[in-house]
Amino acid sequence: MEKLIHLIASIRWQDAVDIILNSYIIYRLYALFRGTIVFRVLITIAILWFFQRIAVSLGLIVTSWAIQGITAAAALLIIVVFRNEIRSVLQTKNLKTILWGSSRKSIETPFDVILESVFELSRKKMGALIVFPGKEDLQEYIHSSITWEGVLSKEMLISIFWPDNPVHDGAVTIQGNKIKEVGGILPLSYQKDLPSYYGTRHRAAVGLSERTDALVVVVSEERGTISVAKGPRIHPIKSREDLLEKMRQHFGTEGQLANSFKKKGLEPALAALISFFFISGVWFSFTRGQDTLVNLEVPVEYVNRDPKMEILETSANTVRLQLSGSGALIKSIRPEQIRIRIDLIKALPGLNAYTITRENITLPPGVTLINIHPPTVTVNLDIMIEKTLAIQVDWVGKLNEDLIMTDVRLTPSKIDVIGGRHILENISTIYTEPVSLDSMKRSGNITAKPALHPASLKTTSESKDRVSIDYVITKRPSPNGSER
Amino acid sequence: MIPKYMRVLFLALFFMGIFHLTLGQEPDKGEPTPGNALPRIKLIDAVMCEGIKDGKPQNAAVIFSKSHGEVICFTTFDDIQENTFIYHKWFFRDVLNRTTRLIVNPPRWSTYSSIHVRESDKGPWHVEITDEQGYVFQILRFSIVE
Repeated sequence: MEKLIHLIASIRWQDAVDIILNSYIIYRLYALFRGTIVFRVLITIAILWFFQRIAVSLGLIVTSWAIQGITAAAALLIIVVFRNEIRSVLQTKNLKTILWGSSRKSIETPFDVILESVFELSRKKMGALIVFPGKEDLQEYIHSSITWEGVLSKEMLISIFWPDNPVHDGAVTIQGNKIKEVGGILPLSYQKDLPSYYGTRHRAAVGLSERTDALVVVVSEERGTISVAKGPRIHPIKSREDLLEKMRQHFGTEGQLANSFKKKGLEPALAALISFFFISGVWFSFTRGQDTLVNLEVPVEYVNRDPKMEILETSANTVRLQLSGSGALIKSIRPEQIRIRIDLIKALPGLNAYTITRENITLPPGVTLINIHPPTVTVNLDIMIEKTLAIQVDWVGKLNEDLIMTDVRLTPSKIDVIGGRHILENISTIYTEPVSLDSMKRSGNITAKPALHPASLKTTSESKDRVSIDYVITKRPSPNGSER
Repeated sequence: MIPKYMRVLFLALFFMGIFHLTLGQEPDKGEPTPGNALPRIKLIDAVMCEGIKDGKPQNAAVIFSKSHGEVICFTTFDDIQENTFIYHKWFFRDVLNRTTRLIVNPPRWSTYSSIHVRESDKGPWHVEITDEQGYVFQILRFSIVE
């Protein structure tokens, strides 16, 4: 219970927005693609993803890996395979409809007109092929059709299928209360078990219905019989009620209970609720999962330093953080998302120790801090001063035993150095870089660079970066007083 | 009206003062530490050398081989009014290594201190010659090498 309260308390307003926004996106996807194959594939992907998470939590390595691969491939395929359906949904709807509107048809198809027309065509033995599209785009399947855009009426429908009409052999597409297209050529079915008395018109009806979610009504020219093709099957129609039932099923208006259910808006509400719970589950899985541990070396930023002081030394420039979180979150961490900041506003000259706490660390949302190493850092600060120091040559090597170096003069003999007060208080000499004696045989001049140690020391801009060394070498006197 | 010889005397004193101040700015040649009075004795000679013979430094140098085994700091003071202590402070790489307290007697006195060289002593050294008040007469710089 305490964990649950802690969990709820840790939710930020950004998290709430995150969940609500994505729930709405899922809900809109449902509203736009409901009833289409795309939607069914999306549901399948969601189920696959759900099983993948379960497999991960159970430690089923290969299973989770395989499902993850399938899910990724399916998500990619959906865009390629169903590009027409997606385009159709997005193109045929304006922004308002995509963001808010319902995909439900606003204009009802007049069933009575259709029923009367179909049975009139049947009585007159006029062949007819009438397509009622579902959610899917039929553009890819219906060829050579002529745009009609006429308001549906019994007379118009009969006139289209009148034997002398040039388009009477083609299919009519009806959407809402309009005849959208006429004279369309449908793909033929590949089914070999269709009854032999079914002609080309019937095979075309099944050819379209088995490929799409459309309903196709066929009137036989020879026998005057009525058939309805839906999915891979074709059903003979015996009565008006029979055809009405099929159409209601297709348009999703079958049954009074279902009607009232949808009219009351319970279906959208249920869909919204499911979207919310689904996204909440995904969100918690992503952000509150603690299945992955990671160690990261993070640079420490020392901020708000007094401009008069310099950082001479720190015990650590990077700190190792052990973090936990869901695998997806941990993998997606970018270095700039994690920062460790030590505020030096109250620092004094000398050694300052700081304990690194959660307040010093910026982490991306959903990532939990487990451990900090080292937990404390020390910062050595000092007030910067300028001091003039003598320069001395750091001779190395060996001078020939017969020689003596009797004098050394440096130009300049002193150097102005900037550094921490505590350091410079204990320094009186700056040494040059090592100068070798090995090859020195006679007096001469060389130059050398002053070696500033510790590295925090700097020369002033006026100071020369090289020193001229004039040295005097003489022959060693013999023990009796004369030079050897 | 100031007599001519007095004007010459003032002028001479003025230039002596300038000369003295110029010397005081050279730390290796003597630098009074803040708050300390000028010394009552005068350093007239200071050298690093390999040995002493007949009261005189032998083989004054700034480079000493560790194989020689010994380095000597030889100093001579003048104008000594009374027995006075002076110090030879030996610094290795700017860190005080040892301090030798030496007595100088009126009116003129030479004295020395030395170190025995070990392998670990290779590197730059300097010796500060000071009085009891900390006045630095001179700093001698040398190196011990291979």
